[in-house]
Amino acid sequence: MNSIKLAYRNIVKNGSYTVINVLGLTLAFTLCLLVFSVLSEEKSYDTSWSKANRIYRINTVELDKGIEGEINQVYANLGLELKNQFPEVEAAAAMFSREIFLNLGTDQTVEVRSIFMQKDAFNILDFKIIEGNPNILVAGKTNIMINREFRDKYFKGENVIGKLIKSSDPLLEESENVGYVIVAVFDEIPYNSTFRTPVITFSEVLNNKLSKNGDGYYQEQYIALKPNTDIAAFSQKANKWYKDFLSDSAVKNFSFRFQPLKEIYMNPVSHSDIYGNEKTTFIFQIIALLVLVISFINFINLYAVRTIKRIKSLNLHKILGASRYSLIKSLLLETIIIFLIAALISIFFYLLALPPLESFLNFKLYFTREIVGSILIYFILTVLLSGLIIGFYPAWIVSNIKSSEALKNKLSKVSNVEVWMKKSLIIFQFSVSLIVIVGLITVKSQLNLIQNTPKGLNTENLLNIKQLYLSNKSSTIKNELLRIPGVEKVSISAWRPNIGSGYLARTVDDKKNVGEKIRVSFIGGDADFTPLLDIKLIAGRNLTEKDYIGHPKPNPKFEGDEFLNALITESTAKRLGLSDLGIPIQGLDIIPVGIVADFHSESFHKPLSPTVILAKDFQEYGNILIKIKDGQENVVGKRITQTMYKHFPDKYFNFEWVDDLIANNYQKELKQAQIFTLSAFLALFISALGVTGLILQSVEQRTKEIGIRKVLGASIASISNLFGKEYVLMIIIAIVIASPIAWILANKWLEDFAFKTEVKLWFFGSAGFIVLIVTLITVNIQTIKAALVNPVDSLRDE
Amino acid sequence: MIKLEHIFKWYNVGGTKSFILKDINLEIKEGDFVSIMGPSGSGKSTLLNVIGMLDEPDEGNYFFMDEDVLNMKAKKRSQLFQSHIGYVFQSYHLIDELTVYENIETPLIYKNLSSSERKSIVSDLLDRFNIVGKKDLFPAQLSGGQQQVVGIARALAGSPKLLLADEPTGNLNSKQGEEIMELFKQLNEDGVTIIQVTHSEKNAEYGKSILNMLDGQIK
Repeated sequence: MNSIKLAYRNIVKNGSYTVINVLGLTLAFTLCLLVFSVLSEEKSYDTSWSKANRIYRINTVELDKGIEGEINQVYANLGLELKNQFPEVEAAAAMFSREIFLNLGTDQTVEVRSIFMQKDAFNILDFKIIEGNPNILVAGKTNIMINREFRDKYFKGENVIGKLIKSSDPLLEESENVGYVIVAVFDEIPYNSTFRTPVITFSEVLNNKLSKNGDGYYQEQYIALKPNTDIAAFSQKANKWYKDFLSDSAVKNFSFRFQPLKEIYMNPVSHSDIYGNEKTTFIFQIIALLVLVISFINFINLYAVRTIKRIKSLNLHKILGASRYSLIKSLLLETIIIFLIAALISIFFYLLALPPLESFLNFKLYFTREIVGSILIYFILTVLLSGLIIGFYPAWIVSNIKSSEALKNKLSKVSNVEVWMKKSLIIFQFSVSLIVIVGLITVKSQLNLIQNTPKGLNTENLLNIKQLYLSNKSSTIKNELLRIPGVEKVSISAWRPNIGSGYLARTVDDKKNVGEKIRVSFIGGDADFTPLLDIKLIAGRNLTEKDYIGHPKPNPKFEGDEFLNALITESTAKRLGLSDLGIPIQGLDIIPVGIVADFHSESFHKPLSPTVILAKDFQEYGNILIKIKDGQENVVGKRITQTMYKHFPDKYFNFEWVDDLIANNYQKELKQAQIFTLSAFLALFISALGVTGLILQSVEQRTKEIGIRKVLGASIASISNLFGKEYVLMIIIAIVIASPIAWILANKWLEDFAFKTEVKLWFFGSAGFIVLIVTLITVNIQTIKAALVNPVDSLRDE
Repeated sequence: MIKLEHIFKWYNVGGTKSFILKDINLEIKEGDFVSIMGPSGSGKSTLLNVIGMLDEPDEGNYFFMDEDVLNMKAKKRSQLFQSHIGYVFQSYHLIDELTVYENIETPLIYKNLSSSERKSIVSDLLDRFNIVGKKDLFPAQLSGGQQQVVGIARALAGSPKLLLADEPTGNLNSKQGEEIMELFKQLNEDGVTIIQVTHSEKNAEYGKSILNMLDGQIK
């Protein structure tokens, strides 16, 4: 009781130190809690299925040199075939997500994520059916299962089983539009799953036999293995079986990998709509750890400062009979009280910060909210433990003081080792701040580079209507759209920026590097495609309507061949070793008639892919790219919509600004920039706290010195300098230490990009400058205060 | 009660020993009131610290109540001293964050006395020194003389046999000093052995004997 009272008085008495400590620790604890939540959330993905440990996705690993890679799909029905061949396979089903468009009547069309599943999926994942029976399928319709939430939202109070829903799928031909029928309602799939979806569409196994020729179409497929199956051995067996299964003439240039379901969230392999981001999470972790270390360092530093002030009183306790044990106990008690105060405040902040964090991350911390109680209990225990650990060493040292010296206040002469320790800790803090700021500058300048580098195509004011079935009305629609005032150009195309490198790819041998392959992407639209995108022609001619399939070939020599006239990008021409235009390229089945400047068909993460542009008359399926005149963006929307609905009253149209699509590629980086900004502030703030603590100490220790200097005629500025000098030196040392680390980390971060900024010298310079300014301001606030004190007061003793 | 034999204490300054205490031999009997005098730097405070074991000598033997202090385990030594010695300091050395009452109570807490025992002892002392009204004040709220009275009350809380006082009146005006000295005399008459270090001849006169020190030696 007595020691608690004493601890309380000490904490209150050293108010400014307490505030600094609690503030620093609170920040660190809050951050750690948040990061821990994100981590445990991400780790929890797809772990709650009863078979979670034995569900695998089959990925294709391409082995061709030059185009090695992994995709998240394999040839249709491979999983099923494996089930037939190997008793270890308990269930196999194709499962993949796609958007579906449900026409709920009275102009209400909803676009929802759905997962297509083959029926064996019921033996892989767990579903709780609360209404209907998914085993009784309705023929002639697409059978769907909806979740409870979806039912309550759109069909409140209705009996939904057997309900027919029309499809507004823009890609469907009218004749194919059979509509959906609801056959069952299922209870929610856990939120922390890559399979979370409101709607499941399913079917029996498709009647596509696995091809012996090593071809077919790709599908995302999952298998569940029997318990205790050795996955490595099974993988080997399955791969060997497939090699034997293929006919001798088939190309065997790939193998497959069984990827555990639990790992898919963090490592989606190919594009996926629900996935985590390892790099962002990693940055989160590192930053939380650093902030924690910094605030612990601050704590220890400030602890030393406070204790030196108190050494006399501690020693008196000793003279009055306190044992070392009881001194340590009371010192530890103080530490723990401070830690606990910080912990309680940070719990408050944490709970407050969860919702904004969720909207920042763009996913719910579903699992975290379920276990938040135990997280907080463990958190408090961890805080207590770290308080004991952090508090013990200094308590141990302090409790071992020599009595006679302490009474003479001789301990204010701090040992060299201690000074060195403190300085290196501050240097460490500066280094962390520097690294984070360099990180921030790197991210920002990369984003700048992305914004300011010409892409080779003009996407300004470019509207796209996502791929749809045009039922041979494309020319009519195009003409009608062109008549709308404000519309500049229209092109019907099979590709739009940001949908991948092309709508088709072909692989040819790399003549320059024997044994390697080059994958060439095909993009294309009608004859207006290249002008609309402002793709620059370098040599030859542009494509015209005469180059459409079916039109006579310009060079009669190749008449009758399947070759198409095409444009080819500059770098592709170089890689293929193109010597002259007008000569067919075998394997690609094209005749290049013009060379265009390189353009970024994909984001800056990807290198320029070898690209060929075709001209085609897309009568059935296509995107509608619409170039709108400057300043007319808001006016034309309505007219365009009217035109589209006139032709396709039942379709759902996905209007997208191409610029937005491109910007979406860098969402991750924009978020990381925000994280870096926040952490730069945090790191600087906490370093400033640390510096404040140390300066308070120096000032206290040197009150007399300041007084004497003032009596001797020192100006306030020169006294401030006295203290500032030291820190400038420490910052310089920190720059030396931090720069190589920052350089390595910045380059590591930039590895994600094929087109990237260089890490330049000024990054480090400005980071150093920022830290310097913040530190000098911090130092001066305290020293000027001290320098303003009347020397008569500071020189009066005791 | 106290027997010092050939006590030496020195500092190493640039390779040569600089003696603070040089071959001190001293015996002090129970009930004595000794004043140690001498100029600044003559080693009187160090001698007092050695007697109180706040400082260890570099050489020599020290017997306290016939026990060999220097060859004793630290824990036993502190127990021995805790129960028999009270300290009074020139600058009082009260614990700033404790009230008058708590300052006096502290040594009793470390002696593991029950709270009711502590209460009665502290109340007695407060009464005896006429500071009942000040018991809830903090040291900073008292005058120097009052602080020293509290310091003495605290030193006496553990009912020591020996009181060690290092310039107890050094920071006080002469009237306050006299009062403290009267207090010491009274205590000595009640049976407490007192060793005090002082600059003042007048205060030294309160003692039964005077030790004069110069350059680390007793003259």
